[in-house]
Formats: sequence, structure tokens, C-alpha cells
Amino acid sequence: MPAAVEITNLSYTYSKKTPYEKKALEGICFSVEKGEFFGIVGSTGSGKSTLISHLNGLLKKQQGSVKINGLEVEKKNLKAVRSMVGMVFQYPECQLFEETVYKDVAFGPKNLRLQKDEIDLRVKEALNLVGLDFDKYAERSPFELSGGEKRRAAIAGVLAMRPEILVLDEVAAGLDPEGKKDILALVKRLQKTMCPTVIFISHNMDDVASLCDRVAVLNDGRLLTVGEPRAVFSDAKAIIEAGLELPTATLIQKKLENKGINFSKTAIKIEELAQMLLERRANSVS
Amino acid sequence: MPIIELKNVSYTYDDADSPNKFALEKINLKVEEGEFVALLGANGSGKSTLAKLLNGLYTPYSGNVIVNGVDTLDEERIFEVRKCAGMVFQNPDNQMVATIVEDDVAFGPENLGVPREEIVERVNFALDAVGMGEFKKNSAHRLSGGQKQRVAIAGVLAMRPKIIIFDEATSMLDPKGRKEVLSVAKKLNKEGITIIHITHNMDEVAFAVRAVCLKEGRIVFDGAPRELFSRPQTLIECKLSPPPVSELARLLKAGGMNIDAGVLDEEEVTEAICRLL
Amino acid sequence: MFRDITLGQYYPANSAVHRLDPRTKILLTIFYIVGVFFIKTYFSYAVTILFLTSVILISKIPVLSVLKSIRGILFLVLFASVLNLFFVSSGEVLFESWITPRWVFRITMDGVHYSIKLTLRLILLVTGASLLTFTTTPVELTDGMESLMSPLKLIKVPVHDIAVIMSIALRFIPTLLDETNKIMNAQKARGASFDTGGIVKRAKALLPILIPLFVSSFRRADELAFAMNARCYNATDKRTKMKELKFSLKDLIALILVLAFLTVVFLDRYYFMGIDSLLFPGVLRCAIL
Repeated sequence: MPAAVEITNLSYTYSKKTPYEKKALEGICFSVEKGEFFGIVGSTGSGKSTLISHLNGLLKKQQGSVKINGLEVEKKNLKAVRSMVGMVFQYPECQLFEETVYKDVAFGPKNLRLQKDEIDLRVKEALNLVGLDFDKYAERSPFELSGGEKRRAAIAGVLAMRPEILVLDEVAAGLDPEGKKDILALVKRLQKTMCPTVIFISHNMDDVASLCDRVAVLNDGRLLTVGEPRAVFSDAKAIIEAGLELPTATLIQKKLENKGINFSKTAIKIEELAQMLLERRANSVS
Repeated sequence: MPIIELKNVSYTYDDADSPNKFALEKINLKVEEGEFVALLGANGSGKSTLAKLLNGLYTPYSGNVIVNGVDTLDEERIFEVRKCAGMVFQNPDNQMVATIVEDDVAFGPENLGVPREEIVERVNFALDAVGMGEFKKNSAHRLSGGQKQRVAIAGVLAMRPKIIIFDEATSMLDPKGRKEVLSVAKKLNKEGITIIHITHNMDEVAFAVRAVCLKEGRIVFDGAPRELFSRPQTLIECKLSPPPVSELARLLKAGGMNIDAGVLDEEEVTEAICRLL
Repeated sequence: MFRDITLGQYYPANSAVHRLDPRTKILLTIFYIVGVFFIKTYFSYAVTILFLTSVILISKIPVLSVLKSIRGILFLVLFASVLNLFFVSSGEVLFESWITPRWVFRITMDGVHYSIKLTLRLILLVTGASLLTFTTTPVELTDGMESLMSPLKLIKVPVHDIAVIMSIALRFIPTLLDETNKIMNAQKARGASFDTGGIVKRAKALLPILIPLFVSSFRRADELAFAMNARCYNATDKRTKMKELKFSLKDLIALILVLAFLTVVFLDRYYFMGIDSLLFPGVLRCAIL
């Protein structure tokens, strides 16, 4: 079975052959398996946006290969690729434009030229998934929703395409703690019900550590490392050099290690660290 | 005399004749000169409304807002208030008026009719103070989010304010940008400027002297951040979540370790753990 | 860097032309344009080309980039000169062909001269005007215009507000371009296509971009208004400016040079009644353009 996403030797340069030439990606290779919750992290300007723009052909490839479920992303496959890859960009509520939530969510399915019944079905399904009650919201204007609701409606617009792969760019940005918690719970739910593969881009390493199966770290257009969060964050020096932060648990652990308290494994979640500390204390008491 | 005083302030976005919902209700608050206050609350709690009342962008429906001795209802002296209490807004892109960094910083003093030589002096001073001196001639559009916000701070500084209000000024920034802005805020506070930092990010509360929590237009907590962190119930009530460090402290405490639940940052929690192990 | 070039085509270089006061440049460009309209003879065209070429060389802008600015009007130039070629029927006949007994297709000497001169004039106009935008940043242009328009304040024209509006427009062009790009990508990801179908379909396809763009622009405008008020916009009528424009010696020299150029053109036209006619009497008739 082909990988959900397979990227080989991908390079991209902006404004080629002009004084403003800038290499954005260089020799990127990695793949995302079906069913993975895959994180992409990197400081601003590390090439994350350029990278994800390749996943559904928003940027025309210059060099290398990007395959979605074995299908090369190129002009003749764009339609198929775009129906497989759902993209939720930063502040997705910026894409809302229709008079009603229903029409807006139906925009994608309509572009797929589906039958009316099918569109209806998908809009219902999508609104249901993001937790917006169809009867209550379908006929409302998307512009009068609250911030969190707008974001859900926008995500529903992507889900109505029934993507197998969901790409989320800073999906919780700008939301308050409660809104953020809800959105992350929604993402987890979506992975179980609709989009088995999730590609999650975030600046928040605590979120990445607690959600992702594997993480790719980008630095200056190159792939610094890719692996399980624990392995990736164990190399604290590399993470910091890439201009990123450590998960809070890892950071506290590092500080403890600096004071001579050593651990056998790297903690990436607060609960883990608490567990480890409590065990250690229990041992030292007994 | 407090530098900011809110006396029984209410504000509504409804029709003034028949308001049925108040964004802020009977707020009483005093801020002393030189304080660093974190103003917390979920979306819709009224924290941004409060910010806009502090420099007269909004005027209260009832009650009075006194800034540096001037009532914001006094239309003749409104520019005294705005000069004294500068604001940095949420979206870095939507508060710059000029293409070039130094021109943008000059905007405030120009509006105030400051003489030319002095504007140049003020602009240079302000840009140096936020560490953006070398970007003077750059195009503002090309800067990172954190840099743009620092330019916005410089734009406020050039008006020689006593207070700077950060109206969710870090919420659209990446961690690096956040750090940049917060460290500038800290530095300015050390130099005597009163800072009001509005946020819902609990990581940014630690170095405030005082935390004020809003819930549905009312103040439900006013005290030291340490005290707030040790009261998870209050945080939940305000729809805020405790920062990861106090979450760790809570878990350790629940597991029987005698740790102060109000620890503020990674340093403190590390110290506390070291003492206990 | 690319996004710095917001409007027009500013070409960064450190040349005497770049350093001129923008007001001088705007005024001189106007003089120049007026001058070009008074040109009558090939001699004056030669003088103008010489003059313009020297300015281009002094400005350190690659001649090729300047010539590129003509590309945009190439069609217009061709169209106009072909039209002239066919429809001017005075003068010595060079070519004649009776298409029908009533219609004659005729190219005359006058027509040829008209076409050549029209082409030269258009090219000189556009090149000269783009030299202004090549050597002056949009910000300088706004400042210069504000200063030049300031006498209008006497008749209550809000010159300063106009200048602020212009400068904000310049400031937001790159931001809005970025935003458009983002929205376009988001809609493309939902299967929208913007480059297929007929005109109506394409226009309709733009709605998913235009509406969010308007919505966000209004929000931006709102926030910007807050930010400007917070920074004491309109606090006083006696607003000052950090960057004062100053005329200097080089502006005077530039002025003298352009006046010299104008003098040549006017002398040629009104005193010598067209030098060409002295040099080549045969082309006298067509010199009245």
C-alpha cells in the first residue's frame, strides 16, 4: 500500500534567477503513513508553508516528487489530489464568503460537481462533525458567528470534500484556551471518524508532543530530523538550534538534569514528568 | 494617586437607550504608576473593551475612567489621555500607517505637532529602545510579526507615554515574536512605564505583578499571579487554563509532594522539585 | 525584496537623479511632458532623445529596464502609427492602390512622417514618465505631491488627509496582495478554479476571493482607524513632518538643464519655425503636427 504522503528530494526556490532568489526547500525526503498523526514544526520562514503548498499542488513543483496515495501531484492529477488532501490554513475563517453557512460548506462539494442530494448529505455530515447543529446554523450568515464558530464552519467547508488527509496549519491560533481545547478535541475526533491521516503544523511544542505520532523538524528549508516526538525532543540542542522551543515537560526535565537530577527517559508530557518525579520520590523514600 | 482609575464603569455595544447586555459592568479598578498588570479573560469577557476604554477610544456608558488625572469623557483633553496611554493592538499588519519603519514611528509625534528635530530624536530613541534601530529605513511589510509589534511599540514610545496597553498584542505571534515583545514590555516596565498586558495566554502572566481576571464583563480576581495559579477553580470559572508549570505542580501535589501550587515558571518549579527530591 | 516594489517600478540606485527632491522631479517631469508635446521637428526629437538618454545614463538605471517600460504601450503605439500611416492623405504619394472604385489605399510622405513622429512622441512620453517612478519611491512621490498641493489648503482642500490616504494605500498594497494570495489558495484547496470557463464564469469565480477580501479589508480599516486614533491622529492642526523636503543646488541645476531643453524645443518651433525645414526643405509641410 502506498504511503499517504511520499515526498522525495523536494526542492523549491522563490524568484529563481532574479536578485531576489531565495531557496525555500532543499532536498526534502519523508513520508507519512496512512493513519498517522504527523507533526511538522519549524520556526517562521523555515519552509513549512512552502512544503504544505506542495501537498495539493498550490505551488508548482520545481524539483523532486510529491505523491499522495501513490499519485504524483502534477497538473493532470490536481483535481484528484485536491479532493484527497483537505487543507485548513491559518485563520481559515478568512475563506468564508457565502450568504449562509450551508452554501459556504457546500462550495467544495459543488466544485466537485456532486449531485444535490450528495451535497446535502455532505454538508450535514461536515457540520455535524465540527459540532455545529445543522438546523441551528445552516441558514445563518457565516459572518455573524462567533470566532470559534466561524473557524468550525470553515473547517466544515474543508471536511465536506471528504479528504483522507487533513492538513492543519496552526489550527488553534488566536483562540482562547477553551476554544483551543475544543478545536484540538475536534481534530482528534476527525482523525477517528473521517480523515485517518492528519498533518499538524504548530508552534506549540506541548501540543505537538501530546498529539503527534511522528514529527518532522524543518530548519532553513532542510529537513533537520524526523521521528517520534520523544526521540526528536531528546535532542534538545538541535531543537533549540532550529529556533524552536522544547515541550514544557522536556524543558523542566533539562533544567533538573542541569542540577544533577538525571532521568532514564525524556519526558515530553507534563503527566509523564509528574509520574516520573513521583516514582522517583517514592523510590528515594523507600 | 493611581495613574488609572475606573469608577463604576459600565459599557455596552447595544443601543445606549435600551441596553440589555453589558460588555463591562460596574468595573472598579485602580492601577498605580509603574505596575505591570496582566488583564486576563476568555474571548468575550470584555478585556479588549476595557483596553479601549483606557485611552478614550471608547467612553463609558456610565461611570468614569480617569487616566493620569484626566477623565476620558473630557473631549477637550482626550489627546492628553491618548498621548499618556499608548496602545499596541492585536494585528501587527493593521496598525502601521507608513511603508517605512521610521515614518511609521514618526506618525504619533507628527500628529502632536512635535518640532522636526525632536521627532528625529524621539524616533531614534524609540527604535533603539525596542531594538529595531537598524531597521529604521526598512519596509515595514518585510518584518516578522514580532518585529512589527516592536515597531508599533516604538510608535507609542515616540509619544512619550506613561502607560502602554498591549491589547492582545502577542496573540498573533509565534513563540519567538512573543518573547521579543514580552521582553521589551518587561524592559520598559523597569524603566518606569506602567504596562497593562491583555492576554488569554497564561504563560505570559508569570512576570506581571498583578493579575486581573475578567468574566462576562466583571472582575472576578485581582491579585498576584501566584495566588491565581494556586486557585485552579478561578481559572476554570474564567474559562482559562492553568499554564503547564502549575499543572505539573498540581499533579505533584496530588501525588503527595509538598509543592507550592502557585509556582510561576519553569525556574521556580525546578527549584521547588530540587528541594523536594 | 520583491514585495518592496509596491507600486510602479522603483529601481534602487544611488544616483544624482535619485537624490533629487521629489518635488523637483515631479515638476520637471511635467515640464518635460509639456515640452514633448511642443516638439515639431526631427531636430527637436533628436535633442530630446539625447537629453533623455543622458538622464537615463546619469540615473544608473539599466537602459534595458527603461526600454521594457515601453512594452506596455507597444500595442497603442503600433495601432496609432498604422492608423496615421493609412489615413493621412496629404503630401507626396508613395504608394497607391484602388481597392474599389471609391476606396483608395494610399500611403503618403506626410503619413510616414506623422507615424514616425507619433511613435517617437509616445515612446518619449512614457520613458520620461517612467523615469520618475524608476528613481522615486512611492513614499517620496506622495510626500512630493503633498507638498506641491499644499497651496490648495487655502481653498480648504484637505491636502494632508489626501496624502495620508495615499500613503496608507501604498502601505497596504503588499498586505492585500498577500491576503489575496492566501484566500485564493484556500479556495483552490476547496476545488475552486479561476482560469477556466467563459468571462461570466470567471467573473463569478472571483466572488469567493473578493468577498472575503472585502470583509477583511473592512476589518482592517476598522482596526487601523482605532490605531490611528490611539496615536493621536487629528490631535492638532499644526501637524509637523519628520521628513522635510529641501531644495538644494542639484535641484537648481536639474531645473536649469530642463529649461535649457525646453528652450531648444520652443526656439525650434517658434523662432526657427522648424529647423528641419532649413535642413531639409522637403519635409517642411509635414512639420505642422
